[in-house]
Amino acid sequence: MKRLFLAVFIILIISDAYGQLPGNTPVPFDSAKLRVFYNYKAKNYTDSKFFTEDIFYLDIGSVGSDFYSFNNYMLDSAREQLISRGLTSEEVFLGTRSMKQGSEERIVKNYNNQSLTVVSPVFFQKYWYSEDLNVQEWNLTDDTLTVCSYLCYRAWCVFRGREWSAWYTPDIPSMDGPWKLTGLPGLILKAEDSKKEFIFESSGVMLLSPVKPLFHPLESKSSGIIKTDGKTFLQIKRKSVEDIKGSIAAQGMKIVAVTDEKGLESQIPKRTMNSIEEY
Amino acid sequence: MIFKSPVLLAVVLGVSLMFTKAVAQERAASDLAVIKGEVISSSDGKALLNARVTLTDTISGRVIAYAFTNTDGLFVLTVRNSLPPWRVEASSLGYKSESITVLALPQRELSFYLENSNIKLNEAVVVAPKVSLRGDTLNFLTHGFQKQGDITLEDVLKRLPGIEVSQSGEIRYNDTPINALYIDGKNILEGKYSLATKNFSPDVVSMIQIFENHQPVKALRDFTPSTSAAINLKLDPKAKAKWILTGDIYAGIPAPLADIRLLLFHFSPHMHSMNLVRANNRGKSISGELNSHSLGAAAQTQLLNRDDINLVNVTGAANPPIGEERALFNKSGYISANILSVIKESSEASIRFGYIYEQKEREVQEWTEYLIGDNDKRVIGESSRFFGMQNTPELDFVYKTNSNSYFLQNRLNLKMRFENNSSSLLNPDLLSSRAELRQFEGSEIVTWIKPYNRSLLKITSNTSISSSPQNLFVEDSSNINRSVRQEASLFQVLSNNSASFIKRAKLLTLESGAGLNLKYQRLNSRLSSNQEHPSQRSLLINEIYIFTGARYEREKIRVTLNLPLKLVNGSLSAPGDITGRYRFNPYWEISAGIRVSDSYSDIRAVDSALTMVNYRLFVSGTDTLFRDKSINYFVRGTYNNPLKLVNITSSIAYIDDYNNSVSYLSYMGDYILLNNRFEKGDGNSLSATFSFTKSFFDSPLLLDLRVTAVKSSFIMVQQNIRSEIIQKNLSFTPKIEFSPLRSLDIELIAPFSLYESRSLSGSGDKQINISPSFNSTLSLSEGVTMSLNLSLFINELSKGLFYASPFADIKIRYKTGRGEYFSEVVNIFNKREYRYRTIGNLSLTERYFKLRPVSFVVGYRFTL
Repeated sequence: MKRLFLAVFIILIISDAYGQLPGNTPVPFDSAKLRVFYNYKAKNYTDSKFFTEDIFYLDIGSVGSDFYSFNNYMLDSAREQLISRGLTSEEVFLGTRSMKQGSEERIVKNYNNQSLTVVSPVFFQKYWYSEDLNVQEWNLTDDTLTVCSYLCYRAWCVFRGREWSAWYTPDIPSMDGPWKLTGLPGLILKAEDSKKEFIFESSGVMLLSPVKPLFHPLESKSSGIIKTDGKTFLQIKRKSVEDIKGSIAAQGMKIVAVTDEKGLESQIPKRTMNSIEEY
Repeated sequence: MIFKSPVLLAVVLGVSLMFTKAVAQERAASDLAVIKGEVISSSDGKALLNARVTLTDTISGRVIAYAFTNTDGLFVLTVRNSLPPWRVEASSLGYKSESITVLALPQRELSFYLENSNIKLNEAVVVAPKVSLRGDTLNFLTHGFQKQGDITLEDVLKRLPGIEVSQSGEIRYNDTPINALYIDGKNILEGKYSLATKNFSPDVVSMIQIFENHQPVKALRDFTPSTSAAINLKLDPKAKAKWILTGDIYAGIPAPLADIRLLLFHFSPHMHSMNLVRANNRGKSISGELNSHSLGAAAQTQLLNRDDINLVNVTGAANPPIGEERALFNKSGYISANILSVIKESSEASIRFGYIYEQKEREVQEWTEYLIGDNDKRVIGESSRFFGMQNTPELDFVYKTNSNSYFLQNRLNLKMRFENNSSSLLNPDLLSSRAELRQFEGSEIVTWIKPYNRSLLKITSNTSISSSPQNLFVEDSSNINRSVRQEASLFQVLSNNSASFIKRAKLLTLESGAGLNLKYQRLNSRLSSNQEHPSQRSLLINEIYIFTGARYEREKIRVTLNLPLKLVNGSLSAPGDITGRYRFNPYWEISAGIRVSDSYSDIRAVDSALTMVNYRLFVSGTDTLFRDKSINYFVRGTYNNPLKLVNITSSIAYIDDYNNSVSYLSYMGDYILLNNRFEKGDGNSLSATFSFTKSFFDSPLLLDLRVTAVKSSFIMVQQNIRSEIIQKNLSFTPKIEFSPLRSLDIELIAPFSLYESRSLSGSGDKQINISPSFNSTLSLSEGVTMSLNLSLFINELSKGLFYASPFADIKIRYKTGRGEYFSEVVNIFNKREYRYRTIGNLSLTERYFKLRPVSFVVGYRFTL
């Protein structure tokens, strides 16, 4: 992982592609009243036992929600701060390299039109796509689990190649949950697939006071974001993991050198992506 | 009998007609039903988007269907394979929930107007409340109720509102025994839950959940709601899915003392294992930890006979009221191995094995004054040295499938008891008694419960076979010719079998069924002195019955009626009960009922042969089978608000025994002859209880008060003098726990009791007992705590003359990174004798117990 990170470092030096995307004046579509914290563990590669850990925020409003990585949010905020001070890409990288990199995927749900929008970069190119909400067909059970002192009930469904178990609390009347999981009669506080390769578990729920405005990701930074669909995006992402060189080349760039942590020349590690979903 | 035959028949027919009508009226379950409606904000009349609408079963609370409103605030609930009544509830973040009960499929659209409310949202944002309430589940965070001096989980449980833990370890919630104790959702220990509560450290459990009205059989949840509660111990994540060994090892003086506890456990989703080894010689009789507590009929695992059968025994086995630990000289130990394996999603098998070894010694002097008539007394005294040794192996196997679609259970229990007790009497006449008590028992329970749409079939068979060959030898060392030997052997087969059918029709649940109960007992007895007096008696009671029951339940009201009709050995009997409950709101409820019971006597009360029970008591039975009949009336009110940490329970009960047996006591020299005779005598009992518990979120203060008042009367005959005995008992137990300093916890308890037993002629007495105790725990520095326990037992020996016995113990704990060191000084004042008086039925007994001397032990607790 660290090697791959260093490979990206080299690319960053030669590329000035990173940076802000000029956008329209953002208008919030809702105000989040509630924030749910999730600890996330994921086995992102089939050929590795390593689990990636992250922290996600789910900000819930009346007509929608925003799900994003806390680590990435902090990193993005720091980068924007540094860029606004006029620092170069290299300086921005050096200034933020000690910060933890989180998932770059952001999911905004809209209850009004029953859709969700995913925005995620693959290397330097951002993509977005929309899907219908509530596509999971849940089966409710009587099994209970207490998460963050809330009594939760288990429900399960098969969703895009995985059997998911979700524990929802009827105490919080929200249909929402982590990632793309929605549609249960209470907020989902824990979810995991049957292989336990992807686990979201809430570590707390808090009231947002004052409320936090929710912006649609396409309204604030829509320029240069490519519209796609979920299936194509998954192919792009898989390519970026399993064929980094080809993926970079497809974005019109070239890898100059790959070094390890000691600065010695190295090879691009080969990975097999373990996707959270399969279309 | 309160139900005259025509009346009874009319009621049975009436209920049967209701049953038939309800069944006939119920239309076939439609596959699909649709309920539409809208949810609107009452403040501005606007439609609410994304409001949640749930449709639940009115009894079980299970969600049958749910939907969220669209942008127009409209919802569509699609209900499959379910019939009303339903509860439809609409809720939304920041709004107060609204619900309605629908008895039939609504023909019009439903409208919900939700009021703005911060409460719902505020509840949602509490990240880790000390206690939270969700429906019938109370969640208590363990650390919120834990104090520095707590050693076991039981110490914390006692502090939860509504929970009471008896000395035997039985847990009651709102004065009703719990019906299950789960560890992370699995019932590995069944009734032997004291193994967990008396051995788990509170640190192992992160949360204690109480499931009120818990029905442990999932298939019954829509049909037979329970009035009992269950407890679930949520383990700390650090204690899950790995083998953990914890141990306490103590050593001390005088006469090298040892106390060992080793607990090895592993709790994972597919396998639970809990294994214990305990041993000590410092006065702790730990065998009770392996006792099975009653879980009630709802658990479906109740053995027909759980008690030790003692046909004979030696004297001197009584325990002092200051607790057994101070007067017992023992060598006690047990091993317990328990494993539960999840076979598939709803099926599990568990095996429990226990072996108890216990050796007990006790020295007692006692004098009993029997009040025979006006100013006529007889005094019998003895000075005894008791020695007992017991070996008890037990094996329990349970296979259970507990799913919504069916319940299947097979339980096999095998138990043996080898107990040898002896008692040397220095007075009178250098007698010695020796009892050999054996008991071999096998029990089998098979239960099958299958729900079909809105009806249910239940078949159960519960059988127990036991043999108890027991002998008593009484020898007079001064005169060998006075030696007496009593052999007694009881063989019994108990078998209860029934099949019942339950049908739910809207708010009414009807049950009817039939059963056969068999009780076969054969008692062999041989009393040998100069002559032999053998006897054999057998008894067969066959009880064929049909029963009809009905339960009406609405949101706040529940009424239950049971009407069995029994044919017992050819005689007709019709006991029954009716109970009602009204719930004013989630916190307040009141219940009341009448129960008519009717039971037949045991063979020991029937056998007319003279049997020596101990060296001075001989009994003989009635020679006829008789029935005890009684009516029990009760009213009970409960206020339980766990969000305010308040629990108040009060009850009044009146029991009228209108057909019972009367004890005839005769005194012949130093011997007592007891003969129970069947008479239509009067006996009754009126009792009232009140309990109050209040603790506070912000201040470390707990207030607790328990009051019990009982007045009972019955007839007994002593030396041919017939007396009506009136007994009155009043007890107050106030308790306060507080922390005046951050580092100091104090507990004050002052039980007070007034007891009076008197015949109408004036014979009898009364006495007052007070036993205040002061327990404090002081935190000396980080990780070091010192506990001081002071108790004073004040007993009224005669009118106005009180005898006080003070006791003091000190315990010091020192916590290190991985373990904990203990040191204890017990009985600091080195009290070697305890004297007290107790009042019986027309008798007064005074006892002196020899106590254990001052002792000092050091110990270490570790976790690996």
